[in-house]
Formats: sequence, structure tokens, C-alpha cells
Amino acid sequence: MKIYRRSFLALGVGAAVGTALSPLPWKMVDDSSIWSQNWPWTPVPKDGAISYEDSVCTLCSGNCGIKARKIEDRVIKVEGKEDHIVNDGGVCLLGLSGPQLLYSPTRVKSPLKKIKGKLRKISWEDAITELSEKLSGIRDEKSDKVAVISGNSKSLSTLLLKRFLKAYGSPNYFTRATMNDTYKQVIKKMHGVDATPAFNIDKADYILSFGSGIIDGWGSPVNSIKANSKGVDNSRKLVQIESRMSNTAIVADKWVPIKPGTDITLAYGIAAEVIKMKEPKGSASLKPFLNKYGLSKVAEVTGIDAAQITEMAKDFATNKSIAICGKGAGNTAGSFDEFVAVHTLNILANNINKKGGVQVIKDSGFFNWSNMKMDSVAKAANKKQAITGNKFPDTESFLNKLPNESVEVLLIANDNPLYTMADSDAVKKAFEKIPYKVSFSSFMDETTEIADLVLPVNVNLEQTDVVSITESVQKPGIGYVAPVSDLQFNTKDLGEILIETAKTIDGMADAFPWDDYESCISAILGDKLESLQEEGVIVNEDYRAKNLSFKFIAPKNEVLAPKGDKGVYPLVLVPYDSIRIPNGYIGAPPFAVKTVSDKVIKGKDGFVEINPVTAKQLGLSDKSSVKVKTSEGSCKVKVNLSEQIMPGVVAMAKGLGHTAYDKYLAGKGVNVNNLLGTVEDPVTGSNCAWAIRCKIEKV
Amino acid sequence: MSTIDEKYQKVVVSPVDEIIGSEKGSSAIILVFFIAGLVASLVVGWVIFPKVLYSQKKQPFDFSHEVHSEQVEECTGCHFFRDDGTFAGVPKLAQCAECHEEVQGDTPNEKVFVEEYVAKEKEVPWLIYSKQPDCVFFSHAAHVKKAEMECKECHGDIGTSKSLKVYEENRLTGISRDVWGKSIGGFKSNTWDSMKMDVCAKCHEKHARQKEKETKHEQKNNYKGACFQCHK
Repeated sequence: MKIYRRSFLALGVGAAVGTALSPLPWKMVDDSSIWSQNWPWTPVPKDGAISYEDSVCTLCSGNCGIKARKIEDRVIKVEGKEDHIVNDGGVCLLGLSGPQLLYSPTRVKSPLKKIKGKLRKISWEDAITELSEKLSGIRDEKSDKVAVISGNSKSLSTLLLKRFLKAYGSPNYFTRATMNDTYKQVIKKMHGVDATPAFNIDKADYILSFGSGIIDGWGSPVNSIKANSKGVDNSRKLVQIESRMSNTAIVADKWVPIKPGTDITLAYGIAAEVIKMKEPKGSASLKPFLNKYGLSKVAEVTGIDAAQITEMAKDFATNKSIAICGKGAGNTAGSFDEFVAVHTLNILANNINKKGGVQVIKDSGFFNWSNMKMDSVAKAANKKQAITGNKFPDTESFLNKLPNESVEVLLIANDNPLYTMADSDAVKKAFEKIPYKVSFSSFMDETTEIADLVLPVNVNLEQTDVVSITESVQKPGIGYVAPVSDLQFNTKDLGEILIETAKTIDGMADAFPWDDYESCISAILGDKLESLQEEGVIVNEDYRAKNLSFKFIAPKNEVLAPKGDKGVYPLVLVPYDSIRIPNGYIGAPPFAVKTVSDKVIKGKDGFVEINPVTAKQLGLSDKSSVKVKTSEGSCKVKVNLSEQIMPGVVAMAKGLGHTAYDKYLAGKGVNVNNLLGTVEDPVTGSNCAWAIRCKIEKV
Repeated sequence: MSTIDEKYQKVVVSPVDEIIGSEKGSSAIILVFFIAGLVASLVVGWVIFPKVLYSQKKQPFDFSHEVHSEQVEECTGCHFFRDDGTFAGVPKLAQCAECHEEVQGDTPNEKVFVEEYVAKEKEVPWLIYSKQPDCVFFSHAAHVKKAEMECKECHGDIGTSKSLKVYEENRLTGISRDVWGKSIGGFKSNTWDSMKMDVCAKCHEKHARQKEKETKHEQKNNYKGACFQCHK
């Protein structure tokens, strides 16, 4: 038998026919299709019983009511809680990203201690012993050499941290000031009361916003967005005064571009016109002061047409009006003088504690703190003054004081100062001089990376806490933060860590008499706890604010000039807040980064927003690479030509340029804080800088 | 002396015969090869392929639906609908433990279950024969409650089975063989012989056509978009 080439062809044809008549190809097509639609490496959440658990979000000070959708034990989604007094079903991008933060690979998974320059895993027992020994070792001699920097949180656990430091024996407790802290001081100085400010913007007919980003994260972000929507439905008029057209300006009835730093002059200019039309009782003393704010002078200083100022004043005087301040999201302190000027307008509008006006709310005292027993060390130390006096601390002078005042141990909670504070390089240098730093962060952020001891706290979905919601609901109120997820890693609540540590330090145990954090909450809330846990919130609906007297305060500054020499740095750089890019203690989660426009970040490139007129003068075109230089630093970015910014002013988004976190955030864009300097407010001591002079060069 | 024609015959005609003869032989060989290829590939496709495609896995321990059916009246006694209407599927350990806190009877499987799972509070890692790929959305409530279908229509006589069969897992997709059906050729004589899309489509299309007949002209064709009912 002779085998030909055709024999093999026949074999192949036979095999092909046989294969076609077998299920093999058809089954493989089907299976390939199933396989490619369900890649085995794509994680699929497990199936199971669906449940919802309620809590309060603590990712920002808005404290929205949230409900976590769970499959069995696993949280898979966060939604806004319907009918909640703060957010009525709404939720922001950051709150929505809660599960990404909960399961984030950048979470600190257990306590860490720096050993030979590297952070290494240790047990909780060792971590608390370490902290306890460190603090005990210097307590008798120099307890005031321990300082705390805490993010601005209104939670019970933060109050425990304050108590911890007081009982330990140090006056050096510092929080990062926000617009509310500055406004509180304004209320104290103008009305003589310690109270919380809140703004009833949804009931106002006319809103003069001095750069407050009502839909850009200002106040309680979701509450403010909802209030804006209600206002739109009620045909309210919003006038947005700012040099860069924010999203709020886009939805406003009018955008009034203003020369940077001249808000105080404008506010008093409007007040001078208002008082001609409307003179509330007790405002006579203001008249002589306002005389110097002639219309033509104000127009010249602010760059706003005189007729427009008159129109704003007329609308303000004849409507149920409110003036608001706090730039962007209001996360920075702002200028005391500017806030006084804006509050003066509110006094002229006679809106204090009125519907649609500024609410000045005294705390109802939901927390029943037992008298704190302090030993002799604590008593003596607390008579001393803090290294910043009575001022808020995020300025250059504070940074200089930290190492110079020989702060030996620095505890950092709810904050990432190495990223969030202005002039990040200076912050890093100051921190490096502090011998021992303890971070309570949930994430391996910039500050945690340089810490000597890391005691990771639970993230918002794992926390148990109680928070004040007074600012959000404009009535005294608290919300219950319930853990909706099991602990994902070896972490603890901040309160838990503090109570455990206090018990191990001689002389502190009496100030922390509770067995554990749970019994602490129970003791402090008393019989209110049960209803708080059941309802999620307690609000004092019957609260009625009293009429307040007031006195006017003349400003120390009329124009807030941005830092820098105009000759060298002809432009003004304005950092701006975007609700899509969280820029505080929590870095933007991947879900949020995905939503950012490619005119703000593209790949790794950040952008600077420039008016085409300015760009033409500098010979720049859209997307060209440039170097932005300030007196504090420089960076390379690309140009985004935009009509939404005044000529002579340029803007960059906050929240980008992290060096820590994961590939979704690290190295993307530029941290504008590196370029910003600080300006100490003469009254509050906070950083009142909102911009800085800069120059732009082609690269 | 031969003529030119004879020579021609010798030279030309004789080889043609040889060629014809050899072609007969080669055709047979070709046929043999063709059949060999055909048979081999049929054997590969029908016999070897399914053995290679599916791996055989054993359940953690054996289970008798028959025994449990005697104790519980309906399938939904164990495979119940939750309060929110979702289907619980295979019972969780807590549910089984309501009766199996202690070892009942003397079967080895019962002992394994109670000692290895109930006592250790460990969920049983059952292999689910009817689990569809993740790209398929299926609502038991829509089929059982609204369409009033019997469990048997898809799951066959599992409720009366004495033991659990070997779980055959598709090595490529990770899906049970029961979804495609026991017959590798996709032949089926009962509704429960397969859980593939064509089985679903048969019923869905029938209802869609019925619905279409009942609706007004301008609303027709509204029921053809049935893809999204299962593939969200």
C-alpha cells in the first residue's frame, strides 16, 4: 500500500468533517463565549441575603445619613438615607466611595512600628505599650512637650482625644481651622456668645456668596446641594462673587468676577449702599465707618461696575437675604476681617436667627461628661499656654514652633498634614525635626509614611461614634455612627485606643474611668443612647435661638493681598475645591478620580486654568507645558484655556499630586499645597491665605 | 516490425491502464484515511472531549433529598424565599443546624456534617449544580411565584434523589455540566435536561409572542427586547 500526499489530505478532510459533526467546536464556541464574559480573574461579589444597615458618614464634617447595602456580611454599596434630616437620600461622591475605602489596599492593616527605618507589623498589645511607655517616660518632666494635631472633626472620639491630652498634661491640642471656626470667633466677638453658626440658605430669597461653593462641597456638602436645589425651585437669586467661575457660579443667577483679595471692600461697599435703604436698629454706629466706602472707590478697588454693586445692594436690601463666606468648600480658615464684613451684611439684613438667615446655635449639651479628675501633673501643665497661644495652628509660625518648642511627641489623628497643609515641603522639614510621631490613620498616607508608630483606626463604615450635626441641620443635633461592616483588618476605634492607653499611664486612669469605649459612649449619652441608636439622630426641634445684641468691628485689613512680589510674580494662583476630588484627610478614592475631567487631569498631567487673554500675553496655547512658580515652590503642568477665569488669575485643583496611596491617585497631577504659602490672620492666627502670587513660564 | 500505431499503443496506451489500476488502489487508501480521520475526530469530539473538558469533583459529603423531602413538605421548606422576595438557594448552616445540632442516625455523612461543619460553625462548601454564569440574571421569584413554574421543570427529579451525583465542572468556564446538560451533543428530551439559554428562550419567546398578539399594533415588537431580562 502506497501512501500519497492525498492520503493525508483525506485524513484531514475526514477529521474536519468528523470534528464538525462532533460537539467539540460548537461547545468550545459556547464555552469561550461564557469564559470571555466572565473572566475568572474578575472578582464577583458572593451571593446571599441582602440587608441594609444605617449609619452616619464621617468622611467629611457634613455627617450625612447613609445606609449600607450588604450581601451577607459584606458591604457592597453606600446609599444616602431617605428622609434623613441632613441629606434626605442624597450622597456625595466620597460617601458613595465608602466601600472602596473600606477594602482599599492602601489601608494600614495592623499597628506598625518604625524599626531600623522601616515600618514593621506589631501587635496591638505591643503598640499600646510602646505609646504608653513613650508618654509615661516624659510625663513628669515635660508633659507639655507632647502635642496633638487633629483634623476638624465634631465627633465624640475627637473630644476623647482632647480629653486624653488634657488628662495627660499638655495644652498643645491643635485642630485645623475651617471657615466655621473663624465664623465662631466672629460670632463670639460680634455677639458675645459661644455658638455654632449655620446658614439657612434654602429659605433665603437672595444669596450673596463670597466665593462659597454651595454645590462644590461647602458646609455640609449634600445638605447644601439640596438647599440650592430647593432654592432654585423657589426662584431664589444666587449671586456668586469670585474670580474663578466655579460650578456654583455656573448654577448661580449671576457670576460677579472680583479682583482677588478685595471681598472685604466689596462687602462693606454693599453694606454702605444697603444702609442707605435699610437701617436696622442698632446699626447707627456703623454709618460713619461705612462712609469711607464710596461707590466709586469700591468699584475701583474690586473691579466691579458701580451699577452692579448698587443693584446687588438693592436686591440685598429688598429681599429676604443672606450673605455667606468661606471660599470653595470652606475647609480653610479664611480671613477674620472678611467674615466680619460678610456677617455685617447679615446683621444689616436683620437675618440673625431668622428664617433664611444665619443661625447662631448654642450647644444643647447632649454629652454628659463626668468631671475630669486630673492629677497634679495634668493640673500644672494645663495652666501653661499652648505654643501657639490661643490661636489656630496651620501657619508657618506654628510649624517653626513645633520643633523649636521642643515638641518631642506629636500625635496626629484624622489628618494628613504633610499633604493638606500649605507649603508641604516646610511641613515635612518641621515634622522631621520632631523625634517621635504617632499616626492614627487608617491609610498609608504621606504623614503615616514618616510616622514612628502607626495605630490604625477603623474607617467610617467600621466606626462607632457620635457626631454633632448641628451645623448641617441648623438646630442642635447629634448623629449615631454605627459600624455597618465587620473589621476588615486589625484596626480599632480611636476612642478604644485612647481608653486602653490612658489606663496604662500613671495618673491618667481617673480621667478615663470607663471599662471600654462602649461603656464610655453609654455613660456619656446616658438614657439618650437608646433612642439615638434607634433613630440615628437626636435633634432638638424645640430649640429657639434668642435675639442677640451685636457690635461692629472695624477691619484691620481692607484688602488681602496674596503673598508674593507683584513684580516677580505678576499672576495670582487660586487653588479651588472640587466635589469630585476630596482634598482633606482622605485621598480621592479611585471611583472619584474616574469622574474628573481631562481638563483637570489627564494621565499623570495636572492642568492650570488660564484665561485666553492671559495666555496670549504669555504666548501660551491650550495643552502646552508650563512651569508655575511661586515664592514657595514650582511645578510642571499643562495649560487649560478657559473663559471661566478672570484674566490675570490662574487656578489649580486641590486634592491631586499625592505621593502616597495607590496607583489610582499617587503621582497624578500636582499638589497645589506645595506652591502655597501661609499668611497668619492677625486675629485668629490661622492661615488666611486663599491664593498666592505666581509666574508662568513655557517649558 | 511494428507499425507506428503499434508503437504508439505500446508507449501510450499501456501506462494508462497502469494508472487506472493504481488510482483504484489509491482511492481506497484515501477513503481509509478519510474514514480514519472522521472516526478519530468523532471519537475525540464525542467521547474524549467531554472527559477532558469536565473535571469531576465530589461534594463535601453525601446528602439525600429523599430523606429530607419526607420531613419537609415542599422544596421551599429548605430552599425558601427571603422576606424581600430573593431566593435563598442552598440552605445556610444555621438553617440545617436547627435540626442537626446533634448527630441524627448513624450514617457517616451525618457524622461528618455535624462534627466538621455544625460543631465548627463552618458553612458547607456545596458545589451548586444549577449555578449560572455571572452574566446571567435569574430571578426565582419571577419564575416560581409569578409564572408558577414547578421546581422540577428546571431541576428535574433532584427532590427524590437518594444521593448527590458527582459534580462535573467545566475546566474553561468553571460552570457545572448540568447547565449545558448531560448530553454533550446538547440533545434533550425533558425541560430539565439543560439550563442553557435556548431552553429559557423557548418559553420566553412563546410568552412574548402571546403578549404581542394581545397588544395593540403600535405597541408591537415591544417584547422582543428580551435579552435584558437575563443579561443585565
